[in-house]
Amino acid sequence: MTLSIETANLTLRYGDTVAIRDLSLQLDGRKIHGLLGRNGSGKTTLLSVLAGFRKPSRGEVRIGGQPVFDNAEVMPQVCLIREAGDVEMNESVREALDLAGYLRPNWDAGYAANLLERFGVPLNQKVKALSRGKQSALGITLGLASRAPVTMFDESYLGLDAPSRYLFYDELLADFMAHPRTIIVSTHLIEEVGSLFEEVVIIDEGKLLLHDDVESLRERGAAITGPADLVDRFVDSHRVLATRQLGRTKSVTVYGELDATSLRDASTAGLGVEPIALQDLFVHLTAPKGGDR
Amino acid sequence: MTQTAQQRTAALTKHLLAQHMLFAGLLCAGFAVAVASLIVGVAIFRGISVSGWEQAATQVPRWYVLFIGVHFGYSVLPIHVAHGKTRRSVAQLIGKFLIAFSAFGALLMVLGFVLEAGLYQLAGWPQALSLSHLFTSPGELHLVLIEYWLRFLVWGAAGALLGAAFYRDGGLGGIVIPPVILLMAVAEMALSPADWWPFGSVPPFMEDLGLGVLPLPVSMVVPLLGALLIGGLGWLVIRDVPLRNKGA
Repeated sequence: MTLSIETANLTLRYGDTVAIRDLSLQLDGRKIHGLLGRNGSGKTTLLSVLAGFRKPSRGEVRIGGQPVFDNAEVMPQVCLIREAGDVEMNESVREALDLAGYLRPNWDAGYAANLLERFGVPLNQKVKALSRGKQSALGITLGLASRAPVTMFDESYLGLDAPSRYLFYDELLADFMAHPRTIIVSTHLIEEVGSLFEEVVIIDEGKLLLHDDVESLRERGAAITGPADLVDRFVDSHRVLATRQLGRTKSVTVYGELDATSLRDASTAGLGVEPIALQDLFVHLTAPKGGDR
Repeated sequence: MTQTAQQRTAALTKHLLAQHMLFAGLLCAGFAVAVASLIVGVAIFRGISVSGWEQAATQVPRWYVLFIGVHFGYSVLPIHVAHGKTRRSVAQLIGKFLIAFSAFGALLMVLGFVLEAGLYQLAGWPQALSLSHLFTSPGELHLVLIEYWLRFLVWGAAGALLGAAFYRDGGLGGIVIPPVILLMAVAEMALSPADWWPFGSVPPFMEDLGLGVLPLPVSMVVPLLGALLIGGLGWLVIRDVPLRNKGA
């Protein structure tokens, strides 16, 4: 089953604070979407509303064309894993899996057991006794093995060591290929996980800043590398996002599409031109107007 | 074969009941041994003239049922919603669970009176009651069952309401406490009127008004209505409860 996600004029307030404001968005099914935003930008709140964890203050969320909040047909099709997942901390890992088996319509117990073994999470240990990383691994297992048509991970990598994070990314991709569904990954580790995304959504201060496919996004800028003086001359007429220099070699990230003439000039000058790093673009787009970030 | 949502919910309810009944049964067995030991200990120094189980069963178990209710309102509710259940279906599950669990608890109380009757008979002690009840003798097992069932239902529902209210907002939890206590007190007054008035007896003017001893059907309907009212308040709290952000 493939389900698309649609929000219209979505607004969510916490008292006087507006966490999400007038956010309209359409996410196609069968894709892995990256959700990016700075701390406090509203990522977690947005995912909570998409999963029916919270009722919007205004506007609506539809999954597969139906409203989400407390909808008995839609809620079981949506799985949001927040950090370590929502589990009873005093229960054992095995009990947490058993509960998911009762509640998740597409639960794959064999896959869950296999994942936990690979992450090295003991079944008989209480959840609260697990390290932060192992708790995250349990959350990831609950999310992937739920096989929910809409699966969302909200910073589920917290505490995971690098090998475990790569295991997560590999499994996410492999399971997505085997069981295509709509996946949203909210993360700050943009460079590490960015290659998985087909589309990226960037929100800032509760507002939608950008929603585009990754390839188009990367074409919005470029990294120019070469001798410092030649690079400086080339980027003079472009908006510079980031600069790195090692000895006489300089690499400058510029924002804005490079036309054919510019690319030819760069090639003639012996400069290397590579797609923009997603993280650089993110930093640029979410910088405050004053530019002090 | 893929199970339907209803089948999964029914299986989960049975699983939760089995889990909690087993634990409550073991706790009750330990509690009964402790009460029996206390009775025998007292008997060494003086004669036994009243039911010890009556005192114990009326006090401690209802607090345990309240705690179970709090656990369901505070912890089970958000976890199940996070796993894709609707608030409505979790509220229904909690209601069904509490009805069945309260009945099981009441059965344990009945069993306690039966076992105590055997012990007292062997020892030649009278199993007299010292509190007021729907039943006038521990041998009226059907009334013992009904009284404790209703009592546990009210206390369990009150716990679930308090748990859900405190989960939703600490301030709301505080606001809910007075009406919950009031409803629990009214239910207890109906089940055990003579023990709720000042100095342990009904004042004469209440006797004159015919309110000293409530008719049995009234004593049963009042706590039932109390439980329903608490359940209704619970639904108002649960129906759009937001799940807390992690670390909140």
